[in-house]
Parts: sequence; structure tokens; C-alpha cells
Amino acid sequence: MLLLAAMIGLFAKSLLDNHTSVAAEIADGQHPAAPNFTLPDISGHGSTSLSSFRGKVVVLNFWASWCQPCQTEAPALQEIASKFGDRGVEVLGVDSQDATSDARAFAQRYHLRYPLVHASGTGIYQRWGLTAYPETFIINPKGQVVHHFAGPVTGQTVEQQIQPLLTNA
Amino acid sequence: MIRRVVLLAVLAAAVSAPVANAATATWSVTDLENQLMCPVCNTLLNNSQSTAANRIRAIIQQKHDAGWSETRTRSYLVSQYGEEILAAPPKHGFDLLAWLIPGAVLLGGAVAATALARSWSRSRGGEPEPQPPDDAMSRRIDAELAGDDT
Repeated sequence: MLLLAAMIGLFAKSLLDNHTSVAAEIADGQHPAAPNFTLPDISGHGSTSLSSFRGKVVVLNFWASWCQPCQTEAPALQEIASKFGDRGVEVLGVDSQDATSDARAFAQRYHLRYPLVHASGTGIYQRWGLTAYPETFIINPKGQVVHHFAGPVTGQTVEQQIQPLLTNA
Repeated sequence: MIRRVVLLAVLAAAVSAPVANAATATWSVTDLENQLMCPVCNTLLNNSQSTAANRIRAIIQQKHDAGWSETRTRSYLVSQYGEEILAAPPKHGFDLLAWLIPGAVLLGGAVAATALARSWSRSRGGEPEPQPPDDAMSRRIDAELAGDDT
């Protein structure tokens, strides 16, 4: 009986783990609701929830300090944050599969001033359907994920995606 | 004389210092690396040459050199990378099932096999007990045996 309960538990867990990822839904042409998360800031002080940015356009960037293309795109993301910050755009960086001390050094090196949080474990990686770093999602003010960049972004490519959202906001 | 004593003391301290430092970390970096996964490539850490794996190896070496214990270093890595970094599932919480289920399956299989074997041997019931011949058969046997003697 205990064995049966354990097997059912494992089966249920595998079902939960394998639900459709955000990236897969975007690829299917859907605009799924952004799964919320609350993660500790890399500074070690406080935490940030994705849902706290509801009503804004969010540029959600997944990165790691050891990732070479992340270094390439970091200045562009800071530029977006500075340029559009007062127009309702929020850049949020999620450092994952990385040591927070390395993430802090990375943020200092590239003068990143937008919110940066740290995710341990692969749960968020799987939920969002990441395959490599960096990956970036654009979330509209209603909290729907509307675009997915697999690979490094440039300021221009991000601007192209957020401008229509600002017009419609 | 005093100079010699001082020189000897300095030399002794210089020689003993590395020994003392080496004694602070009594665990092997390679052993810990063998217990960890590269979280990006899903292979054992020591089988990966990815940038992330190289960084984790460097962190382990740093902690080792700083005198951290193996347990503390492992806990730090789990806090940073999640439990997925462990090559074997932890022996607590839901992951404990991964350790218990194989044993439970083996035990359950053994119990089921034993029960089935007993059930089959009972249903077969063995060879039927020989029945004693009735009177007519006894007489016939006796007659035939007597006939054989002649």
C-alpha cells in the first residue's frame, strides 16, 4: 500500500514537472500568463516578485555570470532599463545556475542597476522552458508573456518588441 | 647561540606552517567533484569541461583552500545551484522515495514470489495417495502372482 502511494506520488510529481513551458507556449503562438516567482536579490537583502511589476512592460532576462553571450548583452539591457525606466518598462535579471558572489561581481563589472535576483535549482529553468543562456522574455502590462528571445539580445531587438506595448499601454 | 636558536625556531615555524594548513582540509576535491553534477549539461561534474563546470570546480578548490569542510562546501553549492547539483538524491523529504522505492520493490517482489510459489505448490497438491486394492483386485493379484510362480 505504501509502495502504491509512493508510485502515485512520483507519477503526480512527474506530471507537474512536465507541464508545458512558457517558451513552448510562445512557440505555439500563445501568450501565456507569466508564472509568478519570488526570488532573493543577489545583494542578499530582500526579495523581488515578478507580480510586483504588473502594469509595466517587463524585460525578463535569464543569465549567468559564466555565460559569455550574457556579458555581450548586459550593457544593452542596462541601456534599455535607463532609457525606458520612466516609461513603464522594467528590466528584471534572473541569475541562475550560478554563484551569487559571481553574479554580484558581474553586476558591478557591467554597472547593472536594474533588479537582479538569484534562482537556485532548475525549477524556474524548466518552467520557463530555457535551453541555454541567455534567454529573454517580454511581458506585457497585463502579465502575459508575448515574446521570447533565445540567445543574446541587442537594444534594437528589445526596443522593437517593447515599443508597440508602450503605445498600447 | 641566541641567533641560532631564533633561526631554528623560524625554520621550524616555516616548515610546520604548510603542514598545519594542509591539515585543515582533510577531504579530497576530486571526491566531492565525483558526487556532483554539472547543472547545465546534466553530466557528472568531472565529465564536463563546460564553463559552468569549470567555475564550480574553481569554487570547490577555493573553499577547500580556505579550509571549509566538505559538508559546508556541499551545502554552499546546494544553496547556490539547488539540490540538482547532487549526483545522488538527498536522503530526506520527497527525494527519500528514490532511495526507498527500489528496496521496497525488491522486497515486495520477493514476498510476492514466495506467496505465488506456495500457492502453486498447494494447488498442485502433490501425487495422489495410493488406494489399497479392493477384495476383487487383491484376489486377482494373488492369483496372478501364484500363476507366475508356477
